[in-house]
Order: sequence, then structure tokens, then C-alpha cells
Amino acid sequence: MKEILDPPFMRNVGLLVTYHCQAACDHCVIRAGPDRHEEVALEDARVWISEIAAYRDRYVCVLSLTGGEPFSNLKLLRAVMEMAAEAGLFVSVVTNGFWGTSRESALKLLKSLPQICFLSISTDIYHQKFVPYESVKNAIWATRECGIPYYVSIITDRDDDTEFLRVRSEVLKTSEEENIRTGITFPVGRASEIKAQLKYSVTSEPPKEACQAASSPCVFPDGRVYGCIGPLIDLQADHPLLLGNLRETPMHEILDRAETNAVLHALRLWGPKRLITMLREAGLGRHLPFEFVAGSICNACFSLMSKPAVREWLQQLEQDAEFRRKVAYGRLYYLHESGMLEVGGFPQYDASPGLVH
Amino acid sequence: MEIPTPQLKIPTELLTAFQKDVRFVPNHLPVAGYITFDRAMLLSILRTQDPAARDRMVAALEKLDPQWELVFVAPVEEKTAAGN
Repeated sequence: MKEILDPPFMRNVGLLVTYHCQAACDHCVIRAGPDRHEEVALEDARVWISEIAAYRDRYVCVLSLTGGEPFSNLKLLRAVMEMAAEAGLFVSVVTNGFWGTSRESALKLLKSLPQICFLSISTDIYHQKFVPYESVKNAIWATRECGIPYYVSIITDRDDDTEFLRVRSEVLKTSEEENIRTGITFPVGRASEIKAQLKYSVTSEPPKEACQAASSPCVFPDGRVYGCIGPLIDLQADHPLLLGNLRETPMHEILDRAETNAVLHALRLWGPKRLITMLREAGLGRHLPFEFVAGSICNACFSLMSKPAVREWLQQLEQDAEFRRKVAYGRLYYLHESGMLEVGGFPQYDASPGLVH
Repeated sequence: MEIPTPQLKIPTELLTAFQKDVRFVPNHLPVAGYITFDRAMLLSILRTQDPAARDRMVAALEKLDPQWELVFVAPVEEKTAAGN
């Protein structure tokens, strides 16, 4: 069996617990902050988590809690985690580490939350305006003491930025290289308001890599479900990665849509660059920007989906039988995923002439 | 944990196209709010279709020494379809 390096599809589903956050970071895609108070209703969480766990006989394994800052409302966080654990889901949580005011309190808190299987702790120049690194350091220490796997997420507009390098160097005093993940800031969400200050590099071509974020749909407190938790959530218009709304459509139907969404899986297979190439070949290149943020797959994807003419073209592409067929078999070839062939309207897939993969 | 690969046929013209194509995978997982356990652990859990097997794995994890730490594998390198 060949090694598969991509994240398996939809085994991890996100739930945005709250928009509230102690920080109002300049780069925040969802514009979280102290003045935001929208959060998932407990009853919604109860229903959605049970539906996620029941989907295709426990197909989903991990519930990834994000925000905002999920630790902002501890009562809600505990309740949601207990529901998830009872439903048989592993729980992971994203945090800014504000709760690490001392080693002792951080340790006590984590020990009181035994459902946490994994932590992602964010710290960078944006977060550190609101959350001192000392708190993050204590949170990392407590996480290690509890034996909880974790990584530290550092966002920067340039990976040679001196402040980024300083933060990274600090983190390396407490954590190993493998525990650090770096992301590139791009002008979406609140960051669109500081576009002129961002120092990212630009290139004439989008990144060539496949998208891995689209492997995990994310549920929002108002019932919207997106194919990822990337910048597309900032778009007000309908687009291919807005999978539906749980107020209108049952969970299983929305997750089935994700399984058969050809544009979403094309992004997972070949990244936005392939769609951009196809768009140019279709004579619609004029709708694309002249430059892309270097190394940012999310930025390239946002560049596509934010243009009405491109969204219309993508909607047509979604219905294109040959494109759907290529994506479905591409998933089988590259990712060993047969889900789209099985539920996506390819009744003859196993009778086609060809080689056995 | 070995999971059987579906034995499905890929049409010849698509198979040829995929073999010639070059596909790139990022050298790190996304950071925007997404979580990945240790890859080996997560993949072994996620690829099983057997809920009982998953329950056994959860039970095993619960019994682990709290001081025990999972090891993260090195970042993934680029791959191509030809070298896949």
C-alpha cells in the first residue's frame, strides 16, 4: 500500500465554539475579539455533535474546537467536550494560551479537562499584543506536563521577519522544531484593513501545492458549514465551499455534499493553481489578480472565490460531468478515496475498462 | 493497522494522465485552526472502518502514562505522481 501523505477526508470536523476572544488580532480571519459574543448554543451543539458522530456509522473521529478563544467560556467548552467524548469523538482545541497566568493554574485547568486530546497554541506578533508570551509559555509547559500532544502556531507575513524569528526562537526554548507550524498572513478578514502594512512577498503565479485545509469541514454557530475554516468564511456570497446551513439542511446531507463536491476535491488534489490554469484556458484570466501572496494557498483560493464571474464559472464546472469524473478518479488514484465514486453518481465506475489501482 | 485498499478500476486514459501529472503536497499541515495528532496515530485511527477498533484504541490511549509524549514526524516532503 502506498503511503498517503494527505490528511484523510472528513475524519476531522471543526466546530467554531465562540467568536469571543481576549485578543482582537490584526490578522484574524473571523474578526474575533472581546466585543464579539456569538457562540454555539448548547442545544445546537448537542444535536450537531450527535449527528456528526452518527454520520456514516462513526465516519468522523475528531471534533476540532476552534474560535475565537474556546477557553473564553469554560462552562460551554466543558459541556461541548463532554458531549463529544460521550459521542466517541476525539477532541482537539485551538487556543491563544491566555489561561496560562501561572504554571500551577495552567496545569490545574488542563487536568480538569481530560477530554482534550490535542492542543494548538497560537502565539505570534499579533497575539502577543494581547496575550503575553509568559502565559503561552506556562500553557505550553502545562500541556507537556499533561502529556497532551500539541503544536504552536505562529503566523507571520514574512518568514524572514525579525519579530517572527524572535517569537520562533522563544518557542524553540520550550518546544521542538516539530511542534511548530508557521502560516502566512494574507489580507482577508481583519487583515484586509492593514493590507498596506503587510510585508508578504508576492508572485505572479499561485502556489503549486494542493490544499489540505479542505479535508476538514467546519460548523459555525449560526449553522453554516464550510468546506474549510480558511478565508472563504469572510465572503458574504454563495460559493462552492459553502456547503449549506444546518437550519435548512440536515447534517448528513451537508456532509454528503462535501463528499461529492468536485471543486472542493479538485482543491485537495491539485490546489487552486489547477483551477486558475483552467480559468485562464477558458479565457477568464482577466478576473484574476496579477499577483498572489507567496506561499499562501488560502490567498490563491480566496482570489478565485471572491470574484462573482469566477464563482459562476466554478458553479458550472461543478456540474461538468468530465471534470467530476476526473476528480472522482483522481481521489482514487492519489488519495485512495473511493467515496465520490461510491456516492457521487458513478454507477459504472468498477466496470470501466482500465487498470486496477 | 493495515486497511485494505479498494480494488477499483481507473479508466486507462485517466490513469495515463495521472501518471504523467505532477502533484505537489505542502511540506506542512495547515495552521488555520486545524488540528492533527501525531500522523501515525491519527491515520491509524482514522483509516479504520471498525468502530470497535477505534474504541479499543481510545481505551488504550486512556491508559497511557500521562507523562508519555507522542512524537511528531518530520514535515512531509514534496511528492509527485510519478514518484507516488
